[in-house]
Amino acid sequence: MNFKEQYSNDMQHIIPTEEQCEKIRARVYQEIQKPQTIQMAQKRKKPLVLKTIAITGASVACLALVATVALKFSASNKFSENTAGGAAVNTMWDSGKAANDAVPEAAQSLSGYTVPTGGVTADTANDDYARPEAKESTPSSSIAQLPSAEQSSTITVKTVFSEDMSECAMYKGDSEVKYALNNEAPLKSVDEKFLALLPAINSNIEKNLFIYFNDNKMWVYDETKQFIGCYSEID
Amino acid sequence: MELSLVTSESFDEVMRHYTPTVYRIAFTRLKNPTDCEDITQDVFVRYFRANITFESEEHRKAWLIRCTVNCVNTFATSAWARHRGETEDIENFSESENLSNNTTEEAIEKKELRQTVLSAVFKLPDKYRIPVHLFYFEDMSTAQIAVITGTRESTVRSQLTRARKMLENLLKGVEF
Repeated sequence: MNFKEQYSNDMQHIIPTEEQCEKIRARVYQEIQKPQTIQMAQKRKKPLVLKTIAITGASVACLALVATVALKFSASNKFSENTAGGAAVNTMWDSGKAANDAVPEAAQSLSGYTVPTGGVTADTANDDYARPEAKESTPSSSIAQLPSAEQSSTITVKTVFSEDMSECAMYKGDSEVKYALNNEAPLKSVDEKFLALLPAINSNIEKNLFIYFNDNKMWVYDETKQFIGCYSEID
Repeated sequence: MELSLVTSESFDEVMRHYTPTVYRIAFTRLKNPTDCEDITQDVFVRYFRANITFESEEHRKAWLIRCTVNCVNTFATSAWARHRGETEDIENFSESENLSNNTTEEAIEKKELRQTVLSAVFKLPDKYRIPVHLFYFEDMSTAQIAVITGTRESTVRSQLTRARKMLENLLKGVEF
């Protein structure tokens, strides 16, 4: 038996009946004579290029409108932000200025000390807002940021030493504390990082000093981290 | 009679001429007369709506066969067809000969043989039946079948080879 011959003969019998053919024909004509069928055939004839150009142009116009609105909105917001930021800066500058002005008056009460003139240096906590006159004056005093061993928050202080380095006065805001040299030995170990955070300038020798505080005592080192002396708080 | 190559012209004659071809291809895949009627209707509605001019009669026939294959695949993968299941009984097909009136042994033997060959083909997996039909009945080449089914020619050859092996197991003594 040859498969091709047999299969071809068999499939010849697989055909729709006359009734089925008429049924199919009627349904096809019914479908193609519907109005939407005729319109779809006509629509397909229209050129696609014009439609594409129209859609593209409308899309570009919409995008341009959205971009314009977005730019206007963002521009108005930026102006108001800058104004608010400027006001905040001015407020911080004014408060820092008031705090610095109060310190030189207290320093004048110490005997034998030369109170530096020409204003004070900028608060290290507010370096960005340093006043111009602070930069021109001799670096005779500075305000040291002093994180104490007990307190975790930073406080602003100013230290002034006597010429012979036997006494010093420390100004913490409005308060004044006096120290005197004692005979205690230097610290066995000092945190290098801690020392680096406590710069202080001696009023006479115009050097940077490093100070380590603990309770009512302080250990003072010079720029090369050589021990100068230990000072105890006096009444 | 030479038919116009424009889809909107000689539509009735084209439909009468190609309805059996479209119906057979649909039946090969779906095995259900009602579904085959629906597919045939869809194919000719699409033919009318295409509104194109063919290059030749072979071009028209290839277009109709490809459209039929696409419609059959779409129908077979639809949710309704998948949930309904396949029709296993192949005796529901129409015959041009009224064999019920012919009681000779030869006719009965012929009918039995036909059902054996067709039942063997219908037992093939779905993806093999249409290539087998187009190759053995429509006398199309593997390249033409590849274009119509949207696959590669090597794929068509593999499908025909595997189908042949299955048919050899189902039909004893058959020659290919």
